Amino acid sequence: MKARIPLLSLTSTICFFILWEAIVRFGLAPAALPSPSGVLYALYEVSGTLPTHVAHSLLHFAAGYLSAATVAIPLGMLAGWYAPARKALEPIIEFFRPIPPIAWIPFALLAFAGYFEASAFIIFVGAFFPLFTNTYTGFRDTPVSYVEVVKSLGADQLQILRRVALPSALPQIFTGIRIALGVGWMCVIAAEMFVPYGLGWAIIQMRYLHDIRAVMAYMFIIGALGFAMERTAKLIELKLFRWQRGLVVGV
Amino acid sequence: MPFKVEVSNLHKSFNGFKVIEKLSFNVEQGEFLCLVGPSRCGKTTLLRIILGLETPDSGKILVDGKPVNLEKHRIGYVPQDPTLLPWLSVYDNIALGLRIRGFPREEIKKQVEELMRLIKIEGFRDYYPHQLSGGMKAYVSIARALAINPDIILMDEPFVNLDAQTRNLLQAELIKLHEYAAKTIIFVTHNIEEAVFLADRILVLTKRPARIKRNISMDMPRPRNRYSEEFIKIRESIEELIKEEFEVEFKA
Repeated sequence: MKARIPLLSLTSTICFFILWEAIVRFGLAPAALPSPSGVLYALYEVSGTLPTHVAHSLLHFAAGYLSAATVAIPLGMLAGWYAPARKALEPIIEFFRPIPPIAWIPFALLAFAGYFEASAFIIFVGAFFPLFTNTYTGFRDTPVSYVEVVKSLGADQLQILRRVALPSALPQIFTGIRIALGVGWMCVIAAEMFVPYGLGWAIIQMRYLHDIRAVMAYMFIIGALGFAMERTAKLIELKLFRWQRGLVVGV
Repeated sequence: MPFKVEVSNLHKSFNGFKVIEKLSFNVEQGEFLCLVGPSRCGKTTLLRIILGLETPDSGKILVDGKPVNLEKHRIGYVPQDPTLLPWLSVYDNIALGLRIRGFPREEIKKQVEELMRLIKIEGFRDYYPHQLSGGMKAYVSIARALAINPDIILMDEPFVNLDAQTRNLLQAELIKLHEYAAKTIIFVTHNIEEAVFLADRILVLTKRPARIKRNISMDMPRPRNRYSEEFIKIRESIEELIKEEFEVEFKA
């Protein structure tokens, strides 16, 4: 459980970047490929405007993600717990699920007056399904034996929901929260390629300026932010569900 | 005075399989009743019907003269599997029933701590179920059922997965509880020795569909010696009854 970086992983990472740097320096790679040090320098060059772009992206992301959570989690609870709600919602959800979030971009740009709402909407679409599906499965798979035990202790429907269904679904809901962070973050970049601010826009600008080093610098920033979000979620998950640690099914 | 539990004319089938047929019996206040029978004969189903977790096809179950209502009656249920909620500590698992019933925090603390002292598990207060041994889980499951101060306790082979020592220990504790607190207990088991050791009365059930084969009143004084002549005689006679049921099954 200890968070330490094994020697092998560290070495391989360092070697990878040294090798990459060498290949570029000795002219063994296509001329367009920037070196890691070049990307690092580009990062320094764009650092002035970086905070603004990051702030825009995070704002889009937060708006889309939070509205997805507000809608998807309660809907997932409803569909997972009440069979009639499941039957009513399933065909509608399944109708929209196969449409990729990216395919919604033209629609969003036409449907919403502002760029902010449009990009938030794309994130909404991306985050909605993992949030919904995981919440739904979590509630649907509540162990009957747990429900019966609290019933025997005198629980009414609301108590069963609160004391059994919710806690037993929570790990799965959290998995949804974590997956949706990743999917949503991918969507924000795609969505911003068509709006005049944010990291998605910045990376497209650098493409027009033929600055491949800056393009890669933005790529790394996008990756680093996604990584940080995922890791934070994972840490919270471990803290929250300590009771699961070392849990072996059937023992 | 009405019976504590009245079961009359109970029928239950699953997918056309008759599990319980025309079953009637009564349980008196403070009585320790053991149900024994061939495995899969419908004993668990019977307990679940009494609890209201299954609805019978026909027939009636009354507790204190009224249909069962788990929110009003206090019925302790100890399922075959301890079924502790894995996200709750030992303390919180035991406190569950009292929280559901809206007891004030201070009272819950007092009761749960007293119970943990009584069954000697204070040291495990903050453990999660996956950190406990099988015997310890059984203790906690029983404590959880007792915490709501039930006047009827339904137990479904609660000691079946335990080693012989732990089982004997828990049986002795259960007898104490029955004698001091005058609880009505309905105890399902396929362990005949266990039934003879524990019961005021034993109902031997037939193989599926479950009917009453024999009603045996146990007037042996407690504590009962498992090796006494009388104990062994009763045990053997019940074993004989159950063997008959198996023979019926093989002939059919």
